[in-house]
Amino acid sequence: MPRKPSRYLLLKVETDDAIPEEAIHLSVTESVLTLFGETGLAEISPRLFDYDEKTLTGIVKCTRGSVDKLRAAIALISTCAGKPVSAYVQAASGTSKALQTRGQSRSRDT
Amino acid sequence: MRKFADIHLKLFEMNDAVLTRTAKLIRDMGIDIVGIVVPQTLKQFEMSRIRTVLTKTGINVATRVDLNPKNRSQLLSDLRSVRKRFEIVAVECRSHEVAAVACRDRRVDIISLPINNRRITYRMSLGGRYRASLEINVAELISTGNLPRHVVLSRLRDVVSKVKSNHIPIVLSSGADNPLLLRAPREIAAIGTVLGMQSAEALDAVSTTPIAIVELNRKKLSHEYVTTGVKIER
Repeated sequence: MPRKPSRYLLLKVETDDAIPEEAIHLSVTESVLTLFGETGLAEISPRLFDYDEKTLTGIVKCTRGSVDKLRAAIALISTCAGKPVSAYVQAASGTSKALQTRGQSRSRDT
Repeated sequence: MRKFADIHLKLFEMNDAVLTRTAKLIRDMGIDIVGIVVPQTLKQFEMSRIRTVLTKTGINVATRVDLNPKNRSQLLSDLRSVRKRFEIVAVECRSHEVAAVACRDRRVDIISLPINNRRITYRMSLGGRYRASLEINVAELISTGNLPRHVVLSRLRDVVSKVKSNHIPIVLSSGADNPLLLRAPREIAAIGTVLGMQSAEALDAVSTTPIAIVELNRKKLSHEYVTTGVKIER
């Protein structure tokens, strides 16, 4: 069976406090679930990895045709672990490696 | 490369710390032009302080005023006093009387309809007379107040479908009152697609449409401008 093509988004969270990876993953999943329901969640299948608690950036994997839906769900995240946050996508790519390099160069700049 | 704009930023606090944080976020999100709501009574030196803090980070700042008139005569008198001082003039329509005037007055750039008031809805009969663009704020979806999000979504989808059928330009903005309500332009455009816009239309609503409004008004406010198609050459 052929592998499903994926897209990777470099997610950045803006907040005053540190937020653990599980809380971010839960917020993304809940937002997708609220906006698109369970079929939408199955279709998008978001997965957060390579999350850095210091820079509050991580990579979210999703299926290729569902980038816009995931972006909309990310935009509607307003709280995470009870703290007000603003989440946005810094970059999107077809491979996670490209985002890892970009994330490292951005964290060096700041 | 596409330029992006967010022309509705109505910060509650405008001290240097908030402005610096906002400016950093705006730059990180890739927004090039920002429209900041300033009170009509704000002093000139305060306005230039705000502009300086934001432009320091390379952001193009446009001043905006939000009018909230009760009736037609108040709208007309407000427009007379603010049009020459602000780059963007927006009107929140609290009644159909105000909406009917605001939608056809060329001094109004943007119209918004209150989402929590069912009596004020977009009327198809006004469609042909619209000169202004209709604005949708993402903040209304993020913090929906006492309305459930699906109700707000349904109302906004209804407005978008009516506005699209009348070929009225839509502007998508964050409507942020604090830095954490800011959203990146592509995320705002993605919300536009959820509301029933095509991907290209949604991207235009956060880039070409708001940028065109700002550029046209800057041209109109310049000393060389006389009227449409006429300007003084020195």
